[in-house]
Amino acid sequence: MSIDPPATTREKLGSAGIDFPLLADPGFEVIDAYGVRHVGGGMEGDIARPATFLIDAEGRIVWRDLTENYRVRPRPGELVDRLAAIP
Amino acid sequence: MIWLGLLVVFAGVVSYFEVFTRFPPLRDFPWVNLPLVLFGVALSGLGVARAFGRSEYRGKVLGSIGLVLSLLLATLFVLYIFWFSNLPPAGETAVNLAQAPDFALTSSDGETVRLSDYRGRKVALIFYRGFW
Repeated sequence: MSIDPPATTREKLGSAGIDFPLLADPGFEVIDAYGVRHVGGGMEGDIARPATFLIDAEGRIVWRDLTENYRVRPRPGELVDRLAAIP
Repeated sequence: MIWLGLLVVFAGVVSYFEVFTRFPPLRDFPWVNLPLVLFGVALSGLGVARAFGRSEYRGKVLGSIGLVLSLLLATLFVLYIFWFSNLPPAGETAVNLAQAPDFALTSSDGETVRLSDYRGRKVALIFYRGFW
């Protein structure tokens, strides 16, 4: 999810073969609940920092990636493997 | 050679963003582009050294400008890689959160999506910077 409103995400990504929901959090409610606000990180203010949380079937966070550099992200393959490893 | 060096630095920087960021190992650390940029600076430096090695005055001022431009561009690239793209340390909430807070947000399709909709399934929740 990002702070982009749904219309922006639709415009930028359209139906680029993405079959998972792309969510909008322009009010930072969820971003703050998860503690991933990057103060002053955007062109005009705050933004979400890139972060990944893997959540099990009971809603527990079992793995997270809180990268220290926005160029460095978990590989999709790694996420798939880690998700598969969650009981 | 000075201007070739500047061109190499320029190509090194532009190709990082246009080409090599598509390959995660080369995006995480610019294994191709950093050496390319440094090579370009070396070429410019060598070119200036050669220009100053000649007794006649030709090309020294312009050549020095070329080297400065190469150095400037290379420095900006290095600063971007090792400093500008850094993020502040993650806060305690993000680090220690144990139970995923529920939420209700609108998707790009206009649907309301709740985390609790996925109870009983594993979820990957990915925050990204967006297209700001």
